[in-house]
Amino acid sequence: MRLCVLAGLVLVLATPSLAHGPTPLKVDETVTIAAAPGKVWALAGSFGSIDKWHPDIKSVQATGGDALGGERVLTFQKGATLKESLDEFDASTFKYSYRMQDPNLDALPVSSYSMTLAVRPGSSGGSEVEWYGRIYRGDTGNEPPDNLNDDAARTAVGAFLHNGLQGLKAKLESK
Amino acid sequence: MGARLAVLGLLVGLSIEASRSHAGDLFTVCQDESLVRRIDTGTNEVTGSLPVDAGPAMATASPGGGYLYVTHPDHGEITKIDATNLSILSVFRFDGEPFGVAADANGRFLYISDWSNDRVARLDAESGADRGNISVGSKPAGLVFDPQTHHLYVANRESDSVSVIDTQAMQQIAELTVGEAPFALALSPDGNYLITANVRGGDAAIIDTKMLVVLARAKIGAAPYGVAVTDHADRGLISDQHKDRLTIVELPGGQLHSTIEIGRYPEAIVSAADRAYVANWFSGDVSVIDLSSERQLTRIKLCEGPRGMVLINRKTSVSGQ
Repeated sequence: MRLCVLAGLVLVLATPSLAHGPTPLKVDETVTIAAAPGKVWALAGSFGSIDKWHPDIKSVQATGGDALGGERVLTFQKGATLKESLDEFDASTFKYSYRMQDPNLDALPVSSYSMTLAVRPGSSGGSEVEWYGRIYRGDTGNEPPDNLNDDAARTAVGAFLHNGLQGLKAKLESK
Repeated sequence: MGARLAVLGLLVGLSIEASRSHAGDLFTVCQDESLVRRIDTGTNEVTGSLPVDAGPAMATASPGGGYLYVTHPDHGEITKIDATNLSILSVFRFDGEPFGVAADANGRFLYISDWSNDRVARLDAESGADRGNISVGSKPAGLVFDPQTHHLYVANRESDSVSVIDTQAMQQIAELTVGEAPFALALSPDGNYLITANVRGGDAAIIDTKMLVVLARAKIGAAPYGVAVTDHADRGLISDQHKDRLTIVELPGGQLHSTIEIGRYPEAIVSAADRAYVANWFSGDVSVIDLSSERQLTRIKLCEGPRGMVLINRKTSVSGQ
């Protein structure tokens, strides 16, 4: 019990609340979906409804809608939460960008990120959805532990994007 | 045979350069590939590549253009490079997280922002030896040195401020509140105006360096990241990471002049004469902008993770020999 509390403390201390170290990491996942871009956007383009298609997300609490400054709090299946806010929303090009507010290492081992989700026509019909962004590892100090280093951040966020896009595809291609 | 061809190539190259107004070498730090890449701005072709130690970030050149200095924040190093031969001369050890770098007017000292220790260090540019320190705000990032006044301007990202340092006395003479999370800054060639890119504030502050006041805050977008000033000091150029574009504002008022679509997650900008070059971090290329027509001319494919950039005018470096 005491060890647990201690470990928790160390984690908090090792996590700069200021985030954003000097080495950004790139994440980029794409999926093709057999549905028209407008139909894909109707589901994926609602900032507050990610829980309808992302298998890792249990629920969402959204405020402000699909407008600049709109916010959503994601509750992951494992219980941890993460708050994100909209920076750009362009319904004419089917694209939105957002950023993480405060880090929560129990949700994802990153200290900050900004992401874009874009829907476009596929090269051979249907749609292509790209979800990409810039992330920073969980511990931005010079000696990050293995669970908070660059690889851990890239792997966890890469899997989060991948799972989401697969969920979106499954939802839109079912029936 | 090989050498003769190379010499011939060099001569042909030089004669082509002489007929163009954009002759220069653009050096870009490729963080993810641990490289420094050189582009000939006369031909827009990559002409050299130098492997360096891991995690290079920012760069500057010595005043004559003979040397480049590249920081490695994750590894506490600064690499000194011969810019003409594109070869490593030495690697300085640095106790901290060296991020921004600026050289003084005569190339004697380097100023380094130490991201995790809230200080600016002064190093001997020849040996890397410690030549002094000064405390600044939280998370110092971009640095710029004014050769006319010997003032150093430091963007304190988490203090929302710029520190103005008198480098002759190594004393802070002012700290200006400029907006949320200033990351990069740029000084006009005449030294009269300083512009900061405020990442969280979504704007750019234009500062009168004589009066030490913020004249205007120009709205840019979600995440302004890089900044430059044109040669005539009439325009500020600001990259916006979330809008994938370059915003041009008028100086000193900060009125929006135009915007140009460029690559994804644009960052560092350099500007000379009627050209600007922007490193697109996510796209891994460099946008070449014609400032007269305010158009993107081309994007030069470069590498993974381009960060800092330095432009050395070929004429300057040739005349310096």
